[in-house]
Amino acid sequence: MPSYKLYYGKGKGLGELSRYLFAIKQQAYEDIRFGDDLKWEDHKASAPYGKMPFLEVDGQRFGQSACIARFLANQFGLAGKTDLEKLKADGIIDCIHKDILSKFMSLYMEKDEERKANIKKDLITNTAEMYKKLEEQAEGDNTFLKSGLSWADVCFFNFHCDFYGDRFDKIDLAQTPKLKKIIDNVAANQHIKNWIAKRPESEF
Amino acid sequence: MPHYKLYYANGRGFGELSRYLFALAQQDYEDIRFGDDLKWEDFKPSAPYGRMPFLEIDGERFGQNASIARYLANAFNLGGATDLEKLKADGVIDCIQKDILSKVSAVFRVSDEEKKAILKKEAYDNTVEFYGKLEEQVSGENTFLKSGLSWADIVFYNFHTDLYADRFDAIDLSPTPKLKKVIDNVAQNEHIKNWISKRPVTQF
Repeated sequence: MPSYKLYYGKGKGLGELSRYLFAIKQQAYEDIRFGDDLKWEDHKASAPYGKMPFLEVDGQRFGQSACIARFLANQFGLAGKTDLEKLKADGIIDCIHKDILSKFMSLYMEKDEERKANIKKDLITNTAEMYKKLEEQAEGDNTFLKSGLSWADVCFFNFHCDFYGDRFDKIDLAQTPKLKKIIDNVAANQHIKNWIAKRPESEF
Repeated sequence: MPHYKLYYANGRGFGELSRYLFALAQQDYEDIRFGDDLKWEDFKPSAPYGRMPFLEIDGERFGQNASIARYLANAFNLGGATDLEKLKADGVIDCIQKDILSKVSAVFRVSDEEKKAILKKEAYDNTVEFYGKLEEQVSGENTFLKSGLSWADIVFYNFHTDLYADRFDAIDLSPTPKLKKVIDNVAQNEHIKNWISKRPVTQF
């Protein structure tokens, strides 16, 4: 078994997806969190791409949160059973990260309150719109892939519950019943529940 | 052999990466381009994620340009020789598409000339910074991966030559000699040269 070290901040953010995958697989890893005792400023210059999270696998470091998660998903049999399933799962991750999540960055960067309010409105509309597209992608009974639970489900759960959470107007999942089943399925997973119960509390 | 159809606009844009991969593998495919004869508006509602490009494989459709390209790269042995190499290549793609391209694309979404100029400078500075990070990722002689040519090289070539191109201040590659070698290696590839000489000439 390789030795894994995940380096990220104290919160969920872009590191939690990988933490969920480690949890589902019950794979031991060092959950390293930058803070007062371990300063990010001291590690930034040598971090892959100068960013976090990064994953150390037997001493070798790799960056980019989605790539790290994809690698772990493949190692843990959570990426999809066939190449076409992997392509499908990848598309879901890309939709969530590029078509939905990326738009949230513009909200955080905007200082003007009026413009912020407008961006927020557009974000919610865009998210609801993309949820309909994601609904079309769900092929399993309560999973995106026919073959069962995959990182696509966990990624969506992570977006809906952790990123979007209660920061914005509630998105009515009645319009997207398959997505609701996906979320419920991940939420009901014993390993996910155990991790959520024991993980450090954090603001983000 | 599966039957492939790539659907995109009549331009390089986000479709060209896959076209380069088909060319490298000398794999037949239908290069379908929306335009006056084939209206995108007619396809949009049923397109995966409502966007282009999408790839049809034996009749099944898949969206998201990076996911499509990853699938093809793996099918054509251009994904990386090991799981860790694939993780590394993935990281290069995400750096380009998320860390760099996002600031480049931002310029095109703005019409105000003054704002455009500011964003253009930001895009340039950001690109230079991340070229420095990408330089650190190059493990081969003239390829990102030790094992040789991979889609990571193609993605970088595609960004530098087609997407960034001459739309912004020229980037001096002398601080990043490995990146220069990566680009030259792709540019000299016979299959790439053949494709470039015969592909439709387009504005973007």
